[in-house]
Amino acid sequence: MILSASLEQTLLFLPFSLGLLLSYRIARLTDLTVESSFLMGPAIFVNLLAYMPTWLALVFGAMGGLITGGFVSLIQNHDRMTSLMAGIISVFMFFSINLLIMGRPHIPVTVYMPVWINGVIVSMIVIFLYTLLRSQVGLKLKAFGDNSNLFQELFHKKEAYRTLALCISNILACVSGLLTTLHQGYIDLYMNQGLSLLGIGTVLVAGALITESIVKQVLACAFVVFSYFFSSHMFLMLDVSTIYLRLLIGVVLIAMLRSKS
Amino acid sequence: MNSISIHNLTHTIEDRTILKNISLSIPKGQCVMITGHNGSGKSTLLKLIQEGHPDIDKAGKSVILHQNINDNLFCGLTILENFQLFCGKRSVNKIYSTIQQYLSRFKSKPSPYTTVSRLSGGERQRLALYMRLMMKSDILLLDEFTSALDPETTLLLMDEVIDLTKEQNMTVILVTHDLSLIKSRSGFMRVEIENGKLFH
Repeated sequence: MILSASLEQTLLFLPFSLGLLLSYRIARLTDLTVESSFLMGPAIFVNLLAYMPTWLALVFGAMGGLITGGFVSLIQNHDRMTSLMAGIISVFMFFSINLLIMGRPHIPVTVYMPVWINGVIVSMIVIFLYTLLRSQVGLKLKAFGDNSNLFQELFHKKEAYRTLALCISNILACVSGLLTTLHQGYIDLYMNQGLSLLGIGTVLVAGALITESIVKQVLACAFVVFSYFFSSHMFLMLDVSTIYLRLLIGVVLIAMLRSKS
Repeated sequence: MNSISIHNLTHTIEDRTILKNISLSIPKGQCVMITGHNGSGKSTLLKLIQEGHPDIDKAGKSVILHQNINDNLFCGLTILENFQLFCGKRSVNKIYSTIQQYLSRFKSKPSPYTTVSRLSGGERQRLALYMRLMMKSDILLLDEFTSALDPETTLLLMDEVIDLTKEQNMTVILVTHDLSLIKSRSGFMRVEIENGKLFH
């Protein structure tokens, strides 16, 4: 029971974590906008659902990441902001935009998606990321993250690659938001609070555990996300008060990092 | 035929004149050593040659090797990945033998799959030089590229610059204030910049 619930939640959150793996770890961009994308994807989806087939509304919902990713990249480039500053400002602005799209802070969603479809979608995302990072574009994304000045000197495409990384990462955050909404049966204005920190945390812990190939890093991300949800369920099953929940999960994470070192 | 022609170049940054009325012609294949004290304007001149300026005519493509070793390579990537990026060739088979040939010059004999950050400073700077040479450009600009290296490695790198650029008939401009380099290596046309003015 705990195992299946943890696996289900891992499938919902893993696209978000993998998006941050790409933007934060590979392209070295601190992108907090993913938090807004997590809500924007479902917000677009519920608005379009009445006018088109579910699958098409899902596709448009996922494409919401192009808006958030494109915008945050634009203000970084145009206004010469750091990625952290641009992310913070974007999160503020997109709170209003998301509310504007939703119309009200809480909307029930009646569309149901079987868990196996979530599994297929996440598998497709993993295959896509693996293929991308083994391609010439992926190599250039890694180079951009490693030394952006030299990258600009050689290829003169710094802005293009930053936009690419941010758009992919935000599309994945939208996908994660969509899967979560369909799983829980509603969309809430505050359901994305604190997720960027959780996502960056999983990427950092995974990076501390595994520093080698990209495939192993993807697996490490999945392992850390699963461990997070598994620990949560374990503590709840043991009737641990929710007040202590995150404190205890923190202890588990420290133990994992210590076992590695 | 001149590789670089500079005509009465004057460059000012925030009301401060860095370079004053500089004219210089460098024939193709020539090695030029620009010396001068810190802040004399020699690195600025190199930067303007690399980035382009209306008063500078440049025949062909130039590449630059910076003073800071870590600015010249993607240190978190492997040697092979760096070669792929610098050469613009994804196919490993096409460049593998060339990489092996270059790496055989290193005492530590690193594998192409070694991460660049694991190499010593001298090895990284040599590798950065090989990368620039593989880019088949016409002009090589060296901005105090041996300043962080020991005298032995410095001389080794200088010899490699002279030998390898001669093979490709590249024009070389070396900026330095290391007097031992000037004394030990002949074949360089020497010019000096002092307070933004050029002296032959």
